[in-house]
Amino acid sequence: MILPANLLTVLLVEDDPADVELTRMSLEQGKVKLRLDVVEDGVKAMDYLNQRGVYADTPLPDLVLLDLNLPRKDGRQVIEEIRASARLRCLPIVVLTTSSADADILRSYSLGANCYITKPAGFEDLVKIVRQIEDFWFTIVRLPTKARG
Amino acid sequence: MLKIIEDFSERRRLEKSMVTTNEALKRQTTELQRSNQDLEDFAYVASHDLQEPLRKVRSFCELLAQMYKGKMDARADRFIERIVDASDRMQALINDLLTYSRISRRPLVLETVDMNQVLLEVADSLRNQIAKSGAKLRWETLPKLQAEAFCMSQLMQNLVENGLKFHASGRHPEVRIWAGRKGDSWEIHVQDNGIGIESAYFERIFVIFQRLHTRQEYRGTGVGLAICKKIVERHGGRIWLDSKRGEGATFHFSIPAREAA
Repeated sequence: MILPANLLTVLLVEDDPADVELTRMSLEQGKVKLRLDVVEDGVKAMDYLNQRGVYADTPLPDLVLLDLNLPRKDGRQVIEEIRASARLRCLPIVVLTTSSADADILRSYSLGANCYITKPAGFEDLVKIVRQIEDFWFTIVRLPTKARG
Repeated sequence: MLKIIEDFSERRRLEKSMVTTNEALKRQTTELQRSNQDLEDFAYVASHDLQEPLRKVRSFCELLAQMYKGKMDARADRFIERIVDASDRMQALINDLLTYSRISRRPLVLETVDMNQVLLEVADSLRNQIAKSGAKLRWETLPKLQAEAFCMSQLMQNLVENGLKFHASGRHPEVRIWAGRKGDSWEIHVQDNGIGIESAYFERIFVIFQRLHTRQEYRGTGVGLAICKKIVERHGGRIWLDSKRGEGATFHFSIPAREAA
């Protein structure tokens, strides 16, 4: 499939295949045409973002949808490493997780997540949330021009 | 003389056995407290982890409905509705169970809680329900209590919600709240004009998962009043009610009047 160069890309970091499918389906019902890339752990997420190995030619995504509890390297550490990197620092990070624990919320924001969303109980609510994410991040806010490559 | 010595040794024997009994009792109490805590931790973790698969069941069911509703036969559509309905109910149960086990997971930390403020918030969160049923919710000036804020909100929310929920057909629900000082405690009263409860059930309604009605009549999980009882007892108070079938119910609870720390 050939994708236009200016197509918005979302990187989803999620280890649960059912959640990947739900997020994919909800994005398909959104208004914005997006490319969705999925990696299932924090190590792969950092490889993807740092263009290592199979991701050598992968440009930076426009937004990261990040689960917190991940195998190998968890989401909190991913936030920390993104914010510590001069190249990745401006990347919008939306935490999308099952946890509603105060400690996780506080930790995520203090590490530099842009927002924190608890996964809703049903699909229709997820569609609503995904639409709002698209609306806000891709039509309302202005982001710095990406340094591609 | 001999008699006195005998008495004395008998007394020592008794004292010794009392010490042993006391120690055994203390040990048992500690064990009981621990197993109680274990049980509550278990309930918390279980209900937390149960939400995960449930969210999937519900989400994929909604997807199924969205994509295939009307494309299968009427029975298939009904089955989907049944699954969604059942997962809604399970979600409500898990939420209530989480609330129930959360109440005593932390040590009691008292703060000054203005019950008027609590009622304002409760009224706000129930405003749709109040508007829809044409209900009246009124309260007289309430005291400030030394209590846990989230507990007091939960308590008033459950009591007011019950008062609105169990309303009698043919009259608009009315819930009235007032308070009074009685000895070392504040007593708060929540009165409704609903269907009322037979006195035979006065104890039972505070037991977790006990319901007096079918789900078709009144929705609910049977956890609400158990939560209320747990909250009140955690604060060293008591909860009880007066009611006659068909003539509404008045719930009363007491909270010790402590000095602000």
